[in-house]
Amino acid sequence: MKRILSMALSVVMVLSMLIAFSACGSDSDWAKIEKDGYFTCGITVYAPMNYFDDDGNLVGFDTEFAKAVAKELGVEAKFQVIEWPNKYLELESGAIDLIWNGFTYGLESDGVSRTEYVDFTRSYLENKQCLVTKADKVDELNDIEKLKGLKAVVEGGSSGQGVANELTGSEDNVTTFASQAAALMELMAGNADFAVIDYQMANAMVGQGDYADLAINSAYEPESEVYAIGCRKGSDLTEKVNEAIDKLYANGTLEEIAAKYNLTGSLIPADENK
Amino acid sequence: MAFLEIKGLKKQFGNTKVLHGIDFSMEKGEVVAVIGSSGGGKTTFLRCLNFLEMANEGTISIEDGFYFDAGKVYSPAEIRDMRLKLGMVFQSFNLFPQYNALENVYIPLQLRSKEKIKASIPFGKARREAINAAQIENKAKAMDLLVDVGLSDKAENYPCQLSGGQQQRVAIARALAQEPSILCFDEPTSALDPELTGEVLRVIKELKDKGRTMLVVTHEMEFARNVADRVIFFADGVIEEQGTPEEVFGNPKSPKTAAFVK
Amino acid sequence: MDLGTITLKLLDGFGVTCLLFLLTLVLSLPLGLIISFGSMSKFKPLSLTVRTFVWIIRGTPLMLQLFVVFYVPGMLFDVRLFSGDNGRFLAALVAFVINYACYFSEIFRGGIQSIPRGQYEAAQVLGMTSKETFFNVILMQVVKRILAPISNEVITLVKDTSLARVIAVAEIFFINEMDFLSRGLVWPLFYIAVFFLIFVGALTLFFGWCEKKLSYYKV
Repeated sequence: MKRILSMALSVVMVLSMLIAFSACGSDSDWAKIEKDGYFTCGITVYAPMNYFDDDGNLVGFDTEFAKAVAKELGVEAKFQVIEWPNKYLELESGAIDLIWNGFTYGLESDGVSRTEYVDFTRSYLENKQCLVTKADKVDELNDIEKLKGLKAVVEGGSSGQGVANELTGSEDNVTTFASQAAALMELMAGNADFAVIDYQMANAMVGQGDYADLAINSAYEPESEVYAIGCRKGSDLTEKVNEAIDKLYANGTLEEIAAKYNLTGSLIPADENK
Repeated sequence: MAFLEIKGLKKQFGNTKVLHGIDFSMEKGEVVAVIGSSGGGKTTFLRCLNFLEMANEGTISIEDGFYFDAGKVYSPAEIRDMRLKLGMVFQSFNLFPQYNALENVYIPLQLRSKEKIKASIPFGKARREAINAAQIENKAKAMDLLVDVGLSDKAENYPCQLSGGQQQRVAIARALAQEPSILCFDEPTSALDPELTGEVLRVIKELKDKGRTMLVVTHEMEFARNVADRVIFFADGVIEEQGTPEEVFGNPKSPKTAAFVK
Repeated sequence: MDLGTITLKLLDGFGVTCLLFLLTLVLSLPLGLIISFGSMSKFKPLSLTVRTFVWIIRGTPLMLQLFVVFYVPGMLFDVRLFSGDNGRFLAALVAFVINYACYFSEIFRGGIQSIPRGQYEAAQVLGMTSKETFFNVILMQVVKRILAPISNEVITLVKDTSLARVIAVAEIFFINEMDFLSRGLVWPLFYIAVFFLIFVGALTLFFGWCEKKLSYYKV
């Protein structure tokens, strides 16, 4: 109710904003964040990075990580659930300041490096792409050769999309969705033969709870990749976040958070991250 | 000067000349029937009198009313005032469907009253009271007029519940409510079934008996012959012939008239 | 998660849906009337501009318009027109209002132009000003004529609101995906259908009532 009321009120605000729409100078990203007192992270919802606990609170490794960085910088971290395929639009238009959601340092599905679109911060967590099938199909689909020509589902614009294209042999066999969770839904519903998602998510969610019918399929042995945070090209925020990450490594905070979410083994040691 | 005096009235649409300089006059209490074949310009003539079309040239004057010169520019408000001097009854009635018979008659009146009141009384209770008083007065006046046209029992009925003849009688009452100096009719019975024309013509005849000045464009030759004081025959944008019904119907001078009335 | 929690969460999202619906309706109907006057204007440059605008808005997907309103100012001009917690909602509202106003304007235009000339002329000879003519004579006839197409648009609007999710407005479907679908809960989708059915049912009854109210006259 409160939310609805505040929305109604802000209608009045936008009208005045449209009128007072002046060229509001081009502050640097950091200057603006300092002024506003917060930065906004674009996320999708999945464990263990950003998800809702049973009380409806947003938790997760990336959630706490972002809050810790914000604290170091003396600002607040806000989280905005976005449609993953729109992530660069969101970032470029300023609707979010950071892509911080198990964002893999690597390539888009069309082979273009993500560094074309964003500036990456230091990497912090290891990840790999992971093949997920129905639990009762694991034995049957025990060789990646058998995946050729099958139907795959992935999150649009994810690292897994490129992998799925390769595994099925054609991008025509791959259907994309707005989030990894939505892709898993499709798999559950039997609309596809396999999904390619982040290992960290699969590890935390597949085979249990609502996804009990699914299993990680080890037929595919991926190369290891890393997570980093995506900032607007040329933004001075990148440097600020890097500094904060260094401090969080040094004082052990990051290790603590990783332990809390069973990610200690995946955390990249302080001297190895780039 | 005659009661209504029209001089050199011309009207053209694009390159088509419809009225070629009409000179016409009529006296108070006179009933003039305008006849002629379609396209002869009689309806345009009537519409120019009501300023539904603006004449290109010529003057129109009413003795107790106004003087209009097509060469001058008038404001919409001035046109509106002049218009009210000439009532108009349409072929297709044009009653407002969302209002009942009584409302059709009194709402235009009430709008005029409101306008006057708002101009003279600035704000507040006094204005509201004046408007309410005007409403009562206008309603009573409208009711009287419905009685005159024999529709007192249909006051609450909506146009869709009335027969064509009844609708036209409401339209006549509505035009009379404006207290026009001259009442114009544009083929008032053409849209009616033959058995319904009688009641409308009877009302017009009664108005004549009360001394109304009326200009009636009509196809009802019987009516023109029996009710009109004078008949004018329109052909090709000019008044081809005019005179008493006996003269025009009994002994037409122009061959065009003769061909038409035969 | 129990039914109560899910209901509350969905109601929260449905609140946003309803608010978006109501505000869009309240703002786009009068705006649509103004646009219809613009497109009927005798001043050619104005009517041409307005008609081109209506063509563009009706000719492009609402989804694209949502993107343009929300993302383009920031991308091209470095202006954050819709910042703050409710920025996404406001951007969606702006896009919806413009889009629906254009559709409504065409319905109004059709309605107004379908009123016979005789009605205007009768009002004229009775001494009404053009403003009086419109509000006392024409408007109610237009309302009656356009009630059916308007009710169609309104019901479409109820369901179109879910499109706001493409810019991550927390309406009911977005909430559903974020909170339930992401955990593999499918049945709330059908639960949502019930919300919409009830809402549209109420609207249908309302329009039926309006139609009945206006049935005393024919136009």
